[in-house]
This record gives sequence, structure tokens and C-alpha cells, in this order.
Amino acid sequence: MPNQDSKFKYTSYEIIKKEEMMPGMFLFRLKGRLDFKPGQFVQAALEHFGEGTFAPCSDPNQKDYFELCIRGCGSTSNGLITLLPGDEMLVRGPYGNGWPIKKLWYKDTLLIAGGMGLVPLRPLIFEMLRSKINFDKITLVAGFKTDEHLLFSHDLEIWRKKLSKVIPVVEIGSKNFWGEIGMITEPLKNLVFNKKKTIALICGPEVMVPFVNQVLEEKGLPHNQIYISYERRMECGIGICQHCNIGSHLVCKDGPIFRYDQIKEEVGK
Amino acid sequence: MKSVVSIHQLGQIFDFIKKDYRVLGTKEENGKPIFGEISSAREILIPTPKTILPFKKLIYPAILDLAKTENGKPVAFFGMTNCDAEALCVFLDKFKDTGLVPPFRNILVISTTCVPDENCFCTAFGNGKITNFDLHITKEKDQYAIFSGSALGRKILKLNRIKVSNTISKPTAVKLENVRKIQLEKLGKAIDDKTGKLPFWQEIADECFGCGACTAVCPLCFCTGKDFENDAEGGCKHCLKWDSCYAKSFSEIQNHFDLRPSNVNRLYNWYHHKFVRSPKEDGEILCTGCGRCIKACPAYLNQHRIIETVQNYTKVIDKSK
Repeated sequence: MPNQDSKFKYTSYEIIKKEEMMPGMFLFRLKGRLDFKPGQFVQAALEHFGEGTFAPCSDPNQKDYFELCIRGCGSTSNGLITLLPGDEMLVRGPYGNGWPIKKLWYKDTLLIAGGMGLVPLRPLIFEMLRSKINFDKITLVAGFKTDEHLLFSHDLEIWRKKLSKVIPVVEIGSKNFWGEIGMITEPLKNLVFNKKKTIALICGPEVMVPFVNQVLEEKGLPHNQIYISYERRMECGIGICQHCNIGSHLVCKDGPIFRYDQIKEEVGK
Repeated sequence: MKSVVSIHQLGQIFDFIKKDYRVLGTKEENGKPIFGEISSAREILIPTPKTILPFKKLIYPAILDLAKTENGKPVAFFGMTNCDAEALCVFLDKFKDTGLVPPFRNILVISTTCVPDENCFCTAFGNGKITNFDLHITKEKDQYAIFSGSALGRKILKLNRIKVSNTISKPTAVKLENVRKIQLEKLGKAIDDKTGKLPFWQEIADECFGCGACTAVCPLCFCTGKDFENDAEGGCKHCLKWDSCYAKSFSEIQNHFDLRPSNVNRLYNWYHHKFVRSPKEDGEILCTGCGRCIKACPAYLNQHRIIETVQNYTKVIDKSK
């Protein structure tokens, strides 16, 4: 294990709860305090295999535990999801800047999540609900593949009552589904918001972002009112490995959340 | 300040330094100059030819066991070209506060006159002046001229009772023929602005094998991967490994979604990091003009000519406007 002074030192957390969100995707509850800001990320490791980047998704004010939502995707994450309550998980971090919460004060917030993009937004919603006085309208538009792939469905039901608007969108859904059916851009097109007062926060697959931006642009939302959380390959998390750059920015140090007008020229470089 | 010493005095200085430092430098092995541990002043090559691999493997090994990153004995580089000394300073600065390389205060730099080859282009980025050293040594017939460039360097000379002349004297600047100055700001802008340059980058990428040899030999390439090294007995080490931004999976995220799917994307990123991103971060370009990449390239690409051309590429566009 890395020596005590190393920037790569892990803390071992006991898994106290594991919940299957959907086939191959689990919510792990880890015992202990993680002092993180919504939108930041951690590196979770599985010895012999490797390390993955995950965003803590629990209430950041929760002092006894934190939660990581892990989907089995590659060898490391598929290994991580075999861990059981009582096992230990190695975690280092948090890293990155987090969502610009103060910029959202007394503004309307439009949260746009694509699939697992809801994960880093969940702690923000908890935080915003805690001090609702500081925030005006909060709208959540969350897209999923099918209504069976709905993430945090229990939370969505609660948020539906507490937030101004919650619109789950699924590509394929049953008749009884309470949200909308189609692509995530559809409800966005129909959404009425105050373009002077609204800040949009986007987190989702890379392919989704330009389409969402296009709709927001058409609706007249200025680029400096759009924040995007980018997923990049992180090896170190401290700005030395050079894997995660977008143009001149390092996602681990300068991000993962960027204001669209500051990053748009750099994407693709 | 300049002092002239004999080989015996140089040996004395070497032994003095060896007491407190792990001494690394350029020596000959199997007929080739390499960077390695130096045990005697006789081994050091002065003037110093360019090694194939730079110093980086000595302070930042290709596989770095994170359990063993404790900072041991201070390191003295004894016998190092000016461009490498400059690269060393930039390298250490990039890794400061990481605990992965020895801190700057634990490094002593004793640079030596270089033997430029046909690939060298350090003067394209500056005036060739030799500046990054505690001590600098040049050979003068049978003797050695030593210049001190820092308080530590002067202290070492003083403690070895080396007479220092009172006249101010500096090492002779490196002079290279047929190397034109590159304006860094202009070069950065030319690389950063991709407009209309896709054919340019594509043409180079079509030649490039994407092998990453240039990244392995570059003293200022430090892309890193993180991994667990497993052994047959069930043990596992937490390691950092050299990586190359030319590697296919370098920018791959989940579901094998590759953000730099073709070689042209990765090649562009290499130049962009060296001449755009790094200067924006801390004002330093990641190239000292040592020319190792040119020598190492199996596709015979000349990185010096490429940056010269991209710089002039804007000129062509400007004229057409």
C-alpha cells in the first residue's frame, strides 16, 4: 500500500449496506465520514485490479456514512460490485471542484441528468432541499433508457413533491409510467423557464451534452449559465497523469464541472 | 564566477559531493552514453554527449512502487547537458508537492558542456545561454573550468579550497547552425487554433506510427498510468507506470468510448500539451529542443520541422486573408 505521506493513500471504509439498483448496478453505503462537496469525485480501488472514478451520491451533510453508486462495466467495477457488506472498500479523495452552489442562490436551477449522470446531482439536490430558502425553482429532467432503468426511483418520487418539477424521461416505457417517453431533449424543448434567471447543470454521457446544449441555446439560455460535469479517464486525480485533459484544462483539477462558455472551444482538442 | 581546476581537483570535488549525494550522470556503457549511477569522476563524460534516454527514469522510474516513494539521499546530477538541466528544473516543478520525485532542495545540478548533434534545436527557444546549474564544467585542454551558478555551488568550491577568480565570467552559450528562433507565443496560438489545419495534422498523423517512442525518450513527457502489479504469490503493488498519450486507450472512458479515437487526435494532443496547455498552466513549454524525439522516431518525423512549419502555417493563412 502507498506510504503514509503519499498523495495516493487510500482510506479503507467498511461497506454497511449494498442495494441493487438494477441488474449490474449497486448502491454501496460506506461507514465513515467523507467530507465532500456535491459534484466532486473519489477514486475507489480494488486491489489486484485497478481503480475507478465515482461520484459520491449521498447527502454531503451525512456524517456517519457516504454512498457510491457503481455499475459493473470493466474489470475493476465488475470486481467492485462483488464486494459485500462487511467487506472493506479502498477510497481516496474527494477531488475536483464540485457544483457551483453559491452561483445557484436565488436563481432557478435546471438539473439535466442522463442515466448515471443523476449520481453526482443527487447530493446537490439533498443540499438544495436542506436550505431551500436560498434557491428558487428547482427543475430536474432525468433521462433513462427504460422505465426499469430509472435510477433512485424512490428519491424521484420524493423529489417530485419537494422540487418545482421532476420530469423523468425514458426512451422505452410502459403505459403506467409517470414520466415522459422519448429523448431527453423532448421535455426540454417544451419546458418554460426564465432564461435570465435560470442556471442549467448538466451531467450525462458525452454524446448527450451537445444535443442538450443545442436545445438550451435555441431557448436562449446564455452559455455562461450552463455548467457541465465531464467524465474523463482519471488515473491520478491530482493533475499529473495527463489523461483527463480537455484542451488546456485538466478535468481532475480544474473540473470536473466547467462553465460551458469557458470550455466549449476546448472540447475536442 | 570561474575557476580552473585539474583532474585531481575535479576528483576531489566529486568525492566531496559523493559523501552527501547519490551521484547520477552521463557515462559510457557498451560504447553508448547513458545516464546512470556514477562511482568515480573518471566515468563522467565531459564534454557530454546526448543519452538516448533522459534523466527521468532515474528520478521517476517506469514503474514506481508507491510504497517506496520516500525521499532518500539527495541527488546530484554530475555530467548533464544544459538542455537536460533545464528539463530537470521543469520536471521537478511539475511534480512539486507530489512526493513522487526528490524535492528541488535535494537536487544538485552540475551541468557540463554538451556535444550538439544534427537533431539539437535548443537555441530555437532561447539564446543558448547556460543558466540552470549549481556548477557548470567545461573542458579546457587538460584542465576543467568550473562556473558556479548558485550559493550552494560557490560553497562547494569554497569548501574544496578552489580559487575563484574575481572577474565575472559565464559559460559560453550554445551555438547551433541552421536553427532559427521560434516565437513561443506565436507557436502556441498556431497550434491552439485548429481552424483550417486539419490537413496539416492529418498529413503528419498519416506518417506517424503512434508508437510513442518520442514520449519515452522525451525528458518532459510524464504521462502516467496507475496500476496494481500482481505477483504469482498473491501479492500486489500499487504502482505508477509511464504511459504514452499516443496509446490507443489513453483517453478512453467507460463503455470503450474513446475521446481521441484516431492517431491524429492523439498526435495533436501531444503538441497541444507541450506548447499550449503547459505554458497556460505555469508558463513553461514542455520541450527543450534536445532532439531525442527526432532520433527516436521510426517514421523519421522531425518534430523540430513540424513546429517550425505549423508556426508558418498561420503566415500562409494570414496572407490569404
